[in-house]
Amino acid sequence: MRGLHLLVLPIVMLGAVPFAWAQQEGGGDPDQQTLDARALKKYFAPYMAGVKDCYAANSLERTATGVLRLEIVIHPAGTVMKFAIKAPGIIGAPLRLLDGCLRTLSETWHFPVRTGYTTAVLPFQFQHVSPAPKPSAP
Amino acid sequence: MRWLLLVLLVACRDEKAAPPASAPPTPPVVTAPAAPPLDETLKQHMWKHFTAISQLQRAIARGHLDEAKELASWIATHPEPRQEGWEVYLDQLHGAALEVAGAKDLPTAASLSVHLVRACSRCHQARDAIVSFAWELAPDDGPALQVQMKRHQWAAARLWDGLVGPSDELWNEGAAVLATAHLDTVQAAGGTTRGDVSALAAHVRELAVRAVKLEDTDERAQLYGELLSTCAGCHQIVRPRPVK
Repeated sequence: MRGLHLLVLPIVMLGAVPFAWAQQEGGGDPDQQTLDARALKKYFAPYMAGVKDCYAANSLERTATGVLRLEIVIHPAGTVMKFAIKAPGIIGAPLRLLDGCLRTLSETWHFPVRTGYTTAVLPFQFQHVSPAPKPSAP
Repeated sequence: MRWLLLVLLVACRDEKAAPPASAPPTPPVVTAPAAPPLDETLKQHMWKHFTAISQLQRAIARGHLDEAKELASWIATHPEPRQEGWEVYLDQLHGAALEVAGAKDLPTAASLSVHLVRACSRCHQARDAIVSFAWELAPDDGPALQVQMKRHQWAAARLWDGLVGPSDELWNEGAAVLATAHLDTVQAAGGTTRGDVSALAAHVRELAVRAVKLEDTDERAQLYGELLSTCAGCHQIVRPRPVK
């Protein structure tokens, strides 16, 4: 909402608690076969500014909850081969724009090569806040 | 004039640090205290949890009630590293594991086992955890029963991952494949036509169609329990002795 007297403070909660597992019964090193949460957090870091910009530009409605979840499948070669978002409170055209913005970005993301596919859920939280009051002139 | 500030929380905290968006505005830029990332010991511990719970549900599907109960007992009793803010979810996990350990039959164990996975996914949601899984392309369909069952297993695994994540994409992926998966029930029943096997196979499809439409994770979990129970029931008929 254009007239909203709030600033957008994206608080990125990416990787508050990283978990990662491999599904193979009986073991296997998840770090070698797939990307674990620690690696995802590390290699996604350069892309977070872009995610923030996309969300800030397309979450201007009051209904936006500040929650964003990216669900991606990463090809063994390191590229994103499937992409979806969940952004509660953002609907209609803004959601389509947000999806398009992030989807375009995702085509530029690269992760380390692994022997298997990785599917990942990446959660973010953003928050609208008021601007800090300017100090009054002496 | 809008401006943006970004605070990167790089670490684990008790609960969500940020108040909800509807809360009164707070002063901008509250840098979260850095805390160490999940250490290797804890990571391995979580992996053991996931492996045990995954094995447990596979044991139910294969008809191994004793194995499922044994795994549930392990989950309920093994020592946990106590992380601040995790207690409520660990208590839920242990409570659910105790219930499964006391289950009298496979259908009961199946319906109770989903409480385990919900404890996991609630914790992931509450703590904004990055969750990753191994993934693979869906196997092609074919006339052979073995191929058809692999496709069923693939779909069930995606549903399972979708619950644990939780992940809408994975859940929907599994549901979509399961809803269209073929199953030669005559072949499954050893070359004979059995009404009970056909009915259970039809019920699996019906559940899959319902699964496609569900959005609530608790409802999905409940449906998964029913699916697991249906799979186990069918397997018990066509394979009277549990498969290793």
